[in-house]
Amino acid sequence: MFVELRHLQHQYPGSQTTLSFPDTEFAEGARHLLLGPSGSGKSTVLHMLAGLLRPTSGEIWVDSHNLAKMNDRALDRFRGERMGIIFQQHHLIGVLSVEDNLALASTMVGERASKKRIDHLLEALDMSSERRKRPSQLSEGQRQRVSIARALMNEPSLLLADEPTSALDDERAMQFMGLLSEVSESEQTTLVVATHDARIVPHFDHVTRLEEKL
Amino acid sequence: MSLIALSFAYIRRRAGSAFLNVMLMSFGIATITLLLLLSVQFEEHLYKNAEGVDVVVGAKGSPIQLILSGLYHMDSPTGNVTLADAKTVMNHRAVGDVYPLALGDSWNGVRIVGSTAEYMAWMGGEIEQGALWGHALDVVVGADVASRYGVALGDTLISSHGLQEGGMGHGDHEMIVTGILKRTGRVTDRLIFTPVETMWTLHSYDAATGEDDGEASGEDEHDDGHDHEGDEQHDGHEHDHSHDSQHDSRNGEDYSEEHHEGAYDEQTWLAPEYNDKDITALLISYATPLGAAQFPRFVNAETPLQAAAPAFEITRLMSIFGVGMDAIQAFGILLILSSAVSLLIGLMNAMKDRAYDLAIMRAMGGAKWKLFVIVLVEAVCLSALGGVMGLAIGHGAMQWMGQAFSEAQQFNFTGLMWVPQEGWIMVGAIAIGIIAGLLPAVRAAQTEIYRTLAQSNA
Repeated sequence: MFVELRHLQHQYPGSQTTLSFPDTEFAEGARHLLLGPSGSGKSTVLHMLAGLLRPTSGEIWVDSHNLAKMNDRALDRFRGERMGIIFQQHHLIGVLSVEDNLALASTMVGERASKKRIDHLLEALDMSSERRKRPSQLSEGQRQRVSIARALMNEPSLLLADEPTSALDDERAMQFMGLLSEVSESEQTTLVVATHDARIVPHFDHVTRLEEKL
Repeated sequence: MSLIALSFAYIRRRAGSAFLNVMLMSFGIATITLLLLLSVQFEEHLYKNAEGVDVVVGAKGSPIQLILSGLYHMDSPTGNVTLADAKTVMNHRAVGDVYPLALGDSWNGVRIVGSTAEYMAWMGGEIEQGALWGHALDVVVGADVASRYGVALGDTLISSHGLQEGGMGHGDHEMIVTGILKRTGRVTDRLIFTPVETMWTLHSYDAATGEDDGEASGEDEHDDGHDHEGDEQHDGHEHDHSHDSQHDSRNGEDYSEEHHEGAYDEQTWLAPEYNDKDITALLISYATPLGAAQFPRFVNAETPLQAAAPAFEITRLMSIFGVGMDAIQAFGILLILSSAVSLLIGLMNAMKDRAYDLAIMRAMGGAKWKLFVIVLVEAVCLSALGGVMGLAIGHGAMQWMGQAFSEAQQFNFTGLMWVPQEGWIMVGAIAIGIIAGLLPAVRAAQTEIYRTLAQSNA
């Protein structure tokens, strides 16, 4: 999936500051890092890219679709079918088992969850034996793996991650990035990560640095 | 993983609160259901037992009391009327079929009904053992009376004044059981039937001593100075005798044998020589529909009797009954409204707890309407469950009440019946779930993904 940001700006309601972002292209299948300190707007870009936040102006092209012009329903569907998102907090659904958390990703886009796909992802992430457990019964590392599996459930072309390693020590951060790089490569997914964590720079093909604006 | 499965998963998580919602709803629904079953069956019994009777004629007094005592054997009679007066009414051209009733006596609290075989048949009485009466003082007992008191054919019973146990006994006259009725599930099972003449015979002992004129003992007659000296000659207990030998030992007048030799005749009670005897009421069906316009006015204006129309009095009774029902119904509705408020508050709190879940679902591509449906399904499931449980509890309570109080009531009530209005109760329960779930569902649908997730990272 080819992604391009053009003349992108965003102003939060009640804020005097308008965030402007450099025109950027994300090559299909590559690993991109948006690196910047707190307040640089990297998470804002990531959320606009995910269609969770509307830009004040500018264009977000994902393949031939301008997300900035899509209506809400089309954007919801596009996001669910073609994007996977990993958040700093994993936000797994506590009332569901690991496999049901994965199945929910399909349910949300109106599709029947593929057991084969769930088996494949859980095996790839070494979580097969934990499939019936609730998130509260998992370790932090296991929850992270489940959140990756959930993001990959609908075979997205674009995998987005917001500060995935901020709370991790060096060893666990490297383990996580190794795993994320591996699965994004095996799934042939374009990976975009927004973070202030410079430790993970070596894992990316392209790095876009954002300056502090606030 | 369907949206409904997700809703159920959330219900399980807040099981305590959900249980409270369901219980409140079910108690409210159960109250309404119980009242519905009670009122429908009560009204049905009232109308069913009045079928074929257009008007009840008796002594002046409360018309409802006349209807209750004459048709349903539930209240005390309003008093007695002379056969001569009754005949004046019976001879009116509007009168079709007539059933006479001589009431006011009982045996062990079981009402004794002096009437005709036609009346017993109209009441659904069908002989199972033995035969219909052949003489005055012969009685046919209902199925419950036979089973509860172990009454068998040939047994002798001693009646007493009044409708409650412990009244002054007619020890001088023993009644003989000649027949036992099939079970009907109606008031017939709890009555003792006998010819009208039995009642006159029972009261004729004192007539022989100049102290009673041999009339039926309508309730307001009980305090009229009856002298029960004769009671001292009997111990008041049952005695087993053969039917034939017992007839020989009867005291006082025997109207069927003494005045009408040969086989018992259903019309003997109409003989002119009994004109000064008393009966309690007449159940009358009109010969023509026009009777309803003329007959009651004639009775009430031109005779010392009163005419009461069952249809009118039942409606009046139901409206009186309805006041109490309305109060209980209001309590049931209050419970249901409480459950709706409790459901609303519970879901609103749940929405706060679930904010991140909802935001993540939206981030996964979940449309707003899906989040709306998840919450609404949760609300509807709880209210529907409360509705189903309420119906079950209502029916169970009705069945229990029907059995527990079967001896005390003249009608048989059951919880094992379905009333069409119960469908509307379920519709109402679901509607309450929808109304209570609407606001939380809208809130869920309006979840702001970015802001919610940003808060979690803060």
